[in-house]
Amino acid sequence: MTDELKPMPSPNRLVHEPARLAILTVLSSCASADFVFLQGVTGLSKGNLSVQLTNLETAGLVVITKEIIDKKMRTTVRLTDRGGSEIAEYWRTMDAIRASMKGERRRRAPANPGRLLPEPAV
Amino acid sequence: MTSKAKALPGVETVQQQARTPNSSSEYGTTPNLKKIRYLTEHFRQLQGLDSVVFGAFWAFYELVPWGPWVFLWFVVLGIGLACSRCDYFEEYYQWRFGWNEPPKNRELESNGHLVSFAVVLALIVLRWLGNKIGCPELWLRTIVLFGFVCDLGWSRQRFVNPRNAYLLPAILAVIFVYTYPTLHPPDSAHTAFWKALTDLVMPVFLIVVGLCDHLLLLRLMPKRISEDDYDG
Repeated sequence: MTDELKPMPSPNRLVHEPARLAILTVLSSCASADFVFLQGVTGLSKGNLSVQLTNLETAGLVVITKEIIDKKMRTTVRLTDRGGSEIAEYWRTMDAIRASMKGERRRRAPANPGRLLPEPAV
Repeated sequence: MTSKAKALPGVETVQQQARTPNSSSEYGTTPNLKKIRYLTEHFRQLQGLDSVVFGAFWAFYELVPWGPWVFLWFVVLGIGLACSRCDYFEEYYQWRFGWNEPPKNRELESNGHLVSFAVVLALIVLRWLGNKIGCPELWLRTIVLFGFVCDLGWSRQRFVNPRNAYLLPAILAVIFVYTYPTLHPPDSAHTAFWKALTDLVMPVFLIVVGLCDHLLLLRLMPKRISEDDYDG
């Protein structure tokens, strides 16, 4: 197999989705966060955030805890060990993709630099 | 969306309704992860309203001369401290922006604001003691500045930290106000001015930095969560 046919490392689709990536980024930067904080930081709508959290919980990446504080329900979300390792693995994969793209660009650049010039207007 | 889907009359409307403009991620674009990470890590530091209240009380305390009413001013200051650190602001920030728990290994970093606050409190006590034991005030003020410099140093992303835009100039201004009269003693006409300036610079510093912290938090997290939304 030549270098050109080497498969790209593919990121985890569950983590790669932007809304879930934003949620996991928040949770990887703190020990736990409540629903209101997640909603404010990520800017997701209540329904979307709820659905994404359920997806992440089903996949075993987060733990959702509900407790009543001052007669109000507080939903707290925490990253599981698996969630932590998944997000770390995701960033490693992205770094590998970035590095391979950089290498590819460097390899191709000196071959035909004229191709980078814009097409003349007709 | 394919050209076939565009041809269907209902599809476009449903898609437009689904794309509510409250999230970049709901548009399918990459969210600003740097901003998200910064906001999560510095959430406690950006809650600056307690500094504003404390600075205002401190300014009040500085403006009133020491005398037989000193005990009263300590009571007033105590009320100020209680107001600034009581649950009121914590509850407000929790209601307005939510709540997060800092990681176990970075609790001190997240609570750098509190440490600075404790240092400022120590200044008040030391100043009172300093009057008794003749301790130089400049040394005491240096403790306060040291607290804020530590607060600054605890930020891991200090080179891209937006707080630096106002915290660094404010610290430099305080250092200037404290050191200039020492290096170039003012003449008699300006002595009162410099004394007032050195007395009030720290309270003003706390008020300005606290306000800027709060405004930065509002800017980074502008969406107001209504009471109805707070049901988890």
